[in-house]
Amino acid sequence: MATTNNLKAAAAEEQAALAFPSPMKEFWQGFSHNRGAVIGLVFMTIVVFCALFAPWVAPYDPIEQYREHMLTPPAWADGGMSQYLLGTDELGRDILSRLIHGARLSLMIGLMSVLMAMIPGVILGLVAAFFPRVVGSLIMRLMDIMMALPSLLLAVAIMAILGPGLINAMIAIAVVALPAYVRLTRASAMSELNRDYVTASRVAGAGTLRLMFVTVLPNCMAPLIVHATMSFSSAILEAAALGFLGLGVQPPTPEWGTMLASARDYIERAWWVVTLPGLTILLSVLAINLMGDGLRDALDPKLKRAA
Amino acid sequence: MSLLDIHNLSVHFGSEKHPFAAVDGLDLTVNQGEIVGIVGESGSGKSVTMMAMMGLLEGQGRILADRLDFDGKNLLTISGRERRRIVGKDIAMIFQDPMTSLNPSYTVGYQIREVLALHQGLRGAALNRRALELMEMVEIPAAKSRLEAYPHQLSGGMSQRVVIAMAIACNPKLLIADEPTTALDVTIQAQIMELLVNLQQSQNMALIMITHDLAVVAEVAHRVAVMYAGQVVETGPVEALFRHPAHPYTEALLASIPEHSKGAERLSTLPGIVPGHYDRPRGCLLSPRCPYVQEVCRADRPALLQHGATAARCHFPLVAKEA
Amino acid sequence: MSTVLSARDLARYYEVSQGFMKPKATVKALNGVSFDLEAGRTLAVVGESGCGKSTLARQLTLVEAPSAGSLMLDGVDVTHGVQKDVKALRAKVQMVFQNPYASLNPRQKIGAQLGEPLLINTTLSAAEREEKVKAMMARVGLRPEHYYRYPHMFSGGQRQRIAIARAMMLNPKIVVADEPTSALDVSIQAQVLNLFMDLQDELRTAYVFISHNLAVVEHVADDVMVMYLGRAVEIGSKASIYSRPLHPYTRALLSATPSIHPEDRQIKIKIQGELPSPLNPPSGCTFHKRCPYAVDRCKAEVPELRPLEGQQVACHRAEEIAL
Repeated sequence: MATTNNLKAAAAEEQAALAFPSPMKEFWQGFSHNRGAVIGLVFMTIVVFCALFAPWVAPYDPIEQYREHMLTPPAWADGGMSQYLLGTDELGRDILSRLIHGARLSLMIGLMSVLMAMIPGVILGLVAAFFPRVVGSLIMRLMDIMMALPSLLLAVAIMAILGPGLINAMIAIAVVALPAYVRLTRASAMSELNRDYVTASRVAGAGTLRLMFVTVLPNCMAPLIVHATMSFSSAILEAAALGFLGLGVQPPTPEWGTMLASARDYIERAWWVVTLPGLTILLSVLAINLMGDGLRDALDPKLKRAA
Repeated sequence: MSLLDIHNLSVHFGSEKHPFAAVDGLDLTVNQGEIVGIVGESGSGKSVTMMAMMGLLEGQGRILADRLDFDGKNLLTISGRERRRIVGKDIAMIFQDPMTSLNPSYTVGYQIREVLALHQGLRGAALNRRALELMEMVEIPAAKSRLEAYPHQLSGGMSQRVVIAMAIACNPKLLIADEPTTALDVTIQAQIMELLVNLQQSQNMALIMITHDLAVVAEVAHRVAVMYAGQVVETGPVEALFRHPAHPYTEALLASIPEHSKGAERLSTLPGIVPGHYDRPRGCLLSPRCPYVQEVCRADRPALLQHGATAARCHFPLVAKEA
Repeated sequence: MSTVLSARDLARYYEVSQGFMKPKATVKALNGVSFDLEAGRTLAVVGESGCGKSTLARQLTLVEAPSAGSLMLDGVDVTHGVQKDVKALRAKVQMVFQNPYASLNPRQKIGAQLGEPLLINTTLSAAEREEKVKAMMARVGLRPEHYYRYPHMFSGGQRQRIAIARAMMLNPKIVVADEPTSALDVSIQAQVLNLFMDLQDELRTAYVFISHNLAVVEHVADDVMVMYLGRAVEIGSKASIYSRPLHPYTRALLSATPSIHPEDRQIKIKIQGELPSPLNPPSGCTFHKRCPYAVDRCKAEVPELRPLEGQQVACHRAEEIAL
């Protein structure tokens, strides 16, 4: 009797394995398979939490200057003070608080510049794919020109025209990232356009707009999401680079790149002022890239194990 | 003695705890100079059987067999090096899609010469002569100039001829053709089939034809094995099996071909679909779909037994009923 | 009888770039095809790859505009018609594709895909659409709970049923089916073919059935059009084409089709070589290089399609070589 029960249980289990999971569940299965991606996700969740609740999480005001404690080393180092966990900078501001508040801006720059690059990029890419003759080749040649310029140089040039500032930095980063989105969207839309289901939609009477956004776009989303994650991290890096050049966020607003830049005079005397923002940028970018890898594993049907 | 002798071969995929048998207790013998057809629908285990035999499943499936002998050698116990010496030389294989079974980065001649150099140690002028000879054997027009062509410059039929030339390069004793004409047009299919049969006769090879096209098998094969969900459900001489099928599945398969219902309003069909890897019935594999199903069919899996001219896995074979 | 589809000298040319600074070449993928189709009947279009079958399908379904000739759908001239009328015709011609794995949108639920034609072409409310979709699903043998599933959860045969249901949603006058069963297993093919014929009886839809499988065509067609390199070489009723093919190419196709029973087999007419490149078609009759009956006249003069013994055939020597 026990064996038949076992058999039944096994059969039920097999049935469960056969049942098709919902797309969300399937996605999570693929994503959680990648350990690095989960670690990245955990780290980024903490960073996002800090960013959202910065005023409550941070021990001090990020621009409050404690003149009597200038350049205090981190708590664990010689001469460190337990109330400034990661030490203070050249003006006596608490580095931990500045990093936590800086997460807000850095993540915002990443998010906004990704959105500002992705939305027009996707639209331009779709247009280029649907009208390949004239409009398409025009768009693509323009993108080729933009890609021919070194990206940082282009960003600096744009900043020079627009003037320094947070919004302008985001615009500059978005413009630099745009060609990649256009190319990616166009390539995957072109290959989807040849598929029968698109023709089927056309035969059913679907107009160009419907074909673009309802039929084709959802099937191009997987590589786009992966690329967006990856370019999120490069946007943070570029924002840091612009900040380092003094073209990004203006002091005293806390931002990781700007923090790094303003600390460069103290590299020899106070390593923590430079190292800690650098380490934060490094870890965040690493975490996001790991997440991107996981997303690719979960979304790219070519790599999916189930055929 | 048979050239190829397979007894009770099973191929398991998946985890140790929940394996599924892509091939389940398969028996097959092939004699020298014989054409054997293996027919079955997709997922019936036809291709996996051949891959297992050639050792192409390494690391993916677990192969279990009572006997897996080729030309007197046990393929299960020989070393990987020895197996590689047999596979590709004494056993050769042709795949379904000629466009993807040639490497697009090298010329056709380079690929043929590579096989010859590797297995026969030919060099220099002898190598070139033999490559050209092979191209002529598979009736490629303008063979000499075609040797310098890249695969994308050839049509599907020509590519399949090149694939065949590579397969017979080492005078194999056994040629396995996995759906060799499915990707080709009807008139080209006829040309390739004729070429294969001619080569089989002139080289005295054994030929295993894997296909889902019953008519192709009916035209060329001597014996045929019908596979369903990983098992051979019926096997026997072509004439007898197609004229008086003993297994209900063979009967249904034949009946569902349009050629069979000439003049009829509708084709006869077998209800339902082939069971998946996890929902195989405990009894006869066909029992959920079989029109003649009895209680015993659902409980016990029948063995492959001789019924008249053919052997079938059925408790109630159709010939016995007629007799 | 009402004619729902009528094509006159329908042609479609493609420009192919041959490289930098070279003039563009013209490929005549469809080179003057004429036929009529009545409601509730099936015209089978037969030919090998590259003969223009799929190009014809794209013209008939209004996905592309023909380069020359005229096309009347349900009494409306499409090629010279007003844009608005043509748009209204969209709903009357629907299509079923060869590969059911590519013809369904992987990221849309079945219900949404079946409802899409209604959403675009009618003013029905969401509830009415769902009701209609579910009725159609029941008609093609799908269960109501399939409404909320994604395509990857279905087998090939079920997907093709879904594709057929989608084509039938708007109650079209004409359905163009491009090799609808060639990707399916034999027993599933029979189910799908029966479904096609049941729906035709019920809805009196006219089918343009494109296939390379002559056995399938013999089962479903009323009339048959044989195409070679963009031209129709023979048009006639199914009975006459199969019993007395007039064009050498039709004969070659019929004799190349393998058959299960030896008594049905015909003497193989060997045709040499392969389909010529449409970029550089042979002069005169495009078939002359492969034709066993070719004479000098065939090299020089293009044979027109002409009536002969109740059929239409494009061959100079049709009378002489008749059986």
